[in-house]
Amino acid sequence: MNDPYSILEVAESASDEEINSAYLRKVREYPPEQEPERFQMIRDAFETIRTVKDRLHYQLFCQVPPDLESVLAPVLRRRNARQRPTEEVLLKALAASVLKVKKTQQQ
Amino acid sequence: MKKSSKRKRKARPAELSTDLLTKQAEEQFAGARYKDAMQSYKLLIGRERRPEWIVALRHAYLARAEELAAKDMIKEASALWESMAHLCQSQDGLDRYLHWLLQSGRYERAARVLSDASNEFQDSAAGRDVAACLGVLLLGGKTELKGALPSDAQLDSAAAALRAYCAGDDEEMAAYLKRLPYRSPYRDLRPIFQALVKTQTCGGEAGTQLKKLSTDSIFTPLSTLIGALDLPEDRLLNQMRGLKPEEFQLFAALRGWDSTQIELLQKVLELKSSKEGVSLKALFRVLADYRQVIGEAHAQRMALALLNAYPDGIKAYDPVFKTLTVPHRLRIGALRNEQNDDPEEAVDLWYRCVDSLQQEPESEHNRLASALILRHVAKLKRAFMAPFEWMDEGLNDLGRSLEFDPTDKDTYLEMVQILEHHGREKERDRWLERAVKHLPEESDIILAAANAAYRRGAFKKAANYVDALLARDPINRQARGLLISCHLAHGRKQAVAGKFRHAVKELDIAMRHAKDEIQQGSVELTRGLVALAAGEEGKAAQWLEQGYQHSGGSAAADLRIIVDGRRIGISNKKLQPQLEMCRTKGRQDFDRADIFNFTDLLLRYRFEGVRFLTEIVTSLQKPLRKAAAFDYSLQELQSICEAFAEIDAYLPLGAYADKALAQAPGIPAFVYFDVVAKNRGRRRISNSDRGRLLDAYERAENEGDFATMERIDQLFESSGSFGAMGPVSGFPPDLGSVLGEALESMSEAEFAELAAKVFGDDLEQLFEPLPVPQRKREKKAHRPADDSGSEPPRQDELF
Repeated sequence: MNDPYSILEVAESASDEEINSAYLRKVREYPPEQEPERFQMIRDAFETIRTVKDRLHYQLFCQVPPDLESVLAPVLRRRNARQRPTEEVLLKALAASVLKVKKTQQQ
Repeated sequence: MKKSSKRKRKARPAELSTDLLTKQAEEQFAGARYKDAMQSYKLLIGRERRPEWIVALRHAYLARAEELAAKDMIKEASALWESMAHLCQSQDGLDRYLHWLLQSGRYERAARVLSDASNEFQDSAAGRDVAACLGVLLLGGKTELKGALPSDAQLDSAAAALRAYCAGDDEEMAAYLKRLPYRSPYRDLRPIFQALVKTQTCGGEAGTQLKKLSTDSIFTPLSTLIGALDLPEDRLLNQMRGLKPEEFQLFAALRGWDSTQIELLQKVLELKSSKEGVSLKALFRVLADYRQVIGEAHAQRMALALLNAYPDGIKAYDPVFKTLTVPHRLRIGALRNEQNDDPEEAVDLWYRCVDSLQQEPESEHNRLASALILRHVAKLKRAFMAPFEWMDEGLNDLGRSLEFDPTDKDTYLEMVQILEHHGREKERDRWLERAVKHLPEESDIILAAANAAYRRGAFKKAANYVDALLARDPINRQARGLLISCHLAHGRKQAVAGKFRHAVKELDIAMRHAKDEIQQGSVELTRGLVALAAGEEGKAAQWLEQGYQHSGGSAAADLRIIVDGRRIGISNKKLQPQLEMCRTKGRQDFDRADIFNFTDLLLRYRFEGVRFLTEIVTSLQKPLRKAAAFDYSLQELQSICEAFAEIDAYLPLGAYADKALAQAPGIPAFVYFDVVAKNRGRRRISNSDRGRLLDAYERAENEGDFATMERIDQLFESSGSFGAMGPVSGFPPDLGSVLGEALESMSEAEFAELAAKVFGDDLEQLFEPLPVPQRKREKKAHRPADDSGSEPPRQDELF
C-alpha cells in the first residue's frame, strides 16, 4: 500500500488533529519494536500528510501512482457483519483446501 | 557410398552383455535418465529375475513417476506407479500414488486402494490423511465415494458438527466435536470450527485456536484462510490471490462481503493473476467501473492521483468523474514533462498553472498551491541551469512564493543563505525583516536576523533579538554564544573609544551569560585585553592567563588574543609579551578538539569581517598541518577545509584536502579544495587540474552537490577559462557553434592572442603532448577557412 491516507485510514479532508490521532492509533497497533517495517510505512505516511502544506505538496507533486491495495483499501477495510457460511460453501471450500495440501506436499 | 555406413554401429541394449547392460543401467539411473534406466532394468530382468535388479527397477519407476508428477503429468505418474506395482509386486510409494489419484480426481479408485491397503498403512499418518481427505470430499459432494468408503461414525460426527456450526448452534457443534477421538483423522476439525466461531466475536482468539493445528495437517490451508480474515488490507489481497474459487467464496462469506464487493475483488484478483499484471489503464478502468463500490470520493481521488503517472486517462476521467480543472490539467502536463526529462517545458506549464490558480486569488488553498509550485520550480530549475544563472531566477521564484505563503521559514532561510553567500547583504536584510515580521517567534529566523545585525555592527539590535529568543528558549546554545559575542563586541567598541568603564560593564553582562568554561574564557581574554588597552598590565596578565587556561589554551586562545587585541587597537609590541607569557603556560601542540574550536572561531571572525586571519593562520601552519594526522570523519574534514578555504589558508587546506582524498578519492568538494590549495588561489589553473575539476563538477552534478558545483563554477569564471566549460551543463546548448563561428572569423593573430588569454602559460602544455602532424592539424583548424578548397573545420573540434 502506498497511499498515505489509506495507510493511516483517514479521509482526504482529515484535519491535522485527526491525522495525528490516526498516526498514534496505528503506532499503538503496530509498535516499532514488533513490526519495524510496518511502523516505518506508517511513519512515512504520517510525514507525507502531516500538515496542510504537506498534504497539498503530496497532491501536487506525487508521481507514484496508487497501487491496487490503496485503491481497494475502503472495500477491504469495510467491516460488514460477519456471517456463517452455508453448508455447501463450507464443504466445497473444505474439499478444495484438502486437495490443495496434497498438491503442495507433492511439490 | 553413404558416410553413415562407414561408422561402427552402436550396439543395441538387447545385444549388450549382462555386465555391460548392468553398468549402463546404473549409469542411466545415476544420470537421472530414469526412462532409459527402466528399459535397461526390464531387459536385465527378462534375462534373469535378480532381486537387486527388481529393486533398482522399482526405484527407477518411482523416480520417473515423481519426475512426471513434478511436470503436472499426474495421470502418467499414476500409470507408472501401477506398472511398477505390477512388475515389481511392490506397494512402495503408496502414499504418493494415493495423492496422485486424489489430485487427478480419481477419488473412487483412491478409496478402493486405501481400503485394500495393509492395516499398517491405513493406521499410518499418511493413511489417516488420505482417509480424512476422502471423508471431506464425500461430505463436499463427491457422492461416488459413498459406496467405496466404509461407514464411518467419526465422519458422521464431523459432518454433524459442521452442520451445527453453519446453523449457528455452537453447543451442538462442540458436543459433536467432542466425540472425535484423539487419533481420528478429523480431529483437526476441532480447532478449525472453534476458530471459525471465534472469528465472529474475537479474531485474536481464533489465532490461538489455529495454533493448535500441526503444520502438516491437511486442514492447514483452511487454517491459513481463517487466519487471513483479520489481516490488514495490504496483506489481505496477496493472501487472497492464492485462494481457489471455492475458498474465495468461503472467505467472502466469512467477511460478510456482498455480491458487488465480491465481483470487484474477483475482477481485481483476475487482473493480478494475469501475465501482464495490473496496468495503470486497467487500474483506471477498475476505478471508473466500480467507483460506487469503492466509494465515489476515494475513487475520484485515486483516479486523479493516477493521472499524474497516466495522463492518457484524462479523456476518460472527465465524463466518469468530473471535468478536470485547468490547473489540474496543467499540473499533470508539467509532471509528464518532468517524467519525460523536459524540465524547461515543465517549468513553463507550472508557471501557467500558477497563473491559472491566481484567477481566484482570494482562495487560501490556491495561494498555498502557488507558493509550493514556485518553490518546486526553483528546485527544478537547479537541475538544468548553471548555478550563476540559477541564482537570480531561483531567488525570484522563492521570493514570489513568499508573497503567496509569507510564513514559510525554510524558504526565508534558504534565500538568506543564498544572498549572504553572494554578499547581497542589503537584500538579505530586507528579507530577514520580512521574515521577522511574519515569524516573530521562530528561533531560526530570529537567530538569522541577530547574526545579520551583528555582522553589520548593530550589536545592540542583535542582542535585543537574542535576548527575546533566550527568554523563550533559554537553552539555545547558539543564541547564548551570539549574545556573549554581542556584549564582547560592544565592550571592545567602548574600549576603542577609551570608555573602559563602559567596556567593563558590557563584559560583566557577557560574563553573566557565560555558561561554560570556553565562554567564560573568551570573556576573560577580552577583559584582559581591555585592561591591557587601559594600561593595567598586572590585571591584564591575570585575566589573560585565566582566560587562556579556560579557553583550553592553544590555537583558539592564541587566535582570540591576536585578533581581539588588534581590534581593540593594542600594538603588537604590547601584545606579544602577554601572548608569550600565556603560551609558556599553555599547550604547544593542538589536539582534535583544538582544531574544531580554532576553525569555528576562524569562521566566526571571518563572518565578523576580520581581514588579517590569513597571516595569523600562516604563523600557526606547522602545528595545524601536524594536526591533520588525527582521525577525522569526512564531514569534519569538509568543515575544516571550508574554514581554511574561506580565509585563503592554502597550506593547511592542502594538508586536510589531501587527507580527505586519501580517505575517499574523487569526492568533488575535496578535489576542489585540493586544486585551490595547490594553485594557492592563483587564477590560472593547469590543464590537468581543469580536467579534475570538470570530472568533479560532473560527479557533484550527479550527486546533487550544488555547493561544490557553484564553487567550481566560480573558480572557472574567475580563472577566465569559460571556454573550458563546454561539457558542463547549464551553458547554452549552441555555445559551441556560436564560439566556433566567432573563432572562424578571427585572424591567426587574434586567435593567438585569445588563446594566450584563455590558457596563459598552459598554452604550450596544451599543445606539447600532441604529435606534430596532429598539432599542425589543430593549428590549421583554428585558422579561418581559406580559398584553397580545403574543408572548413568542424565546429566541435574547436573545443
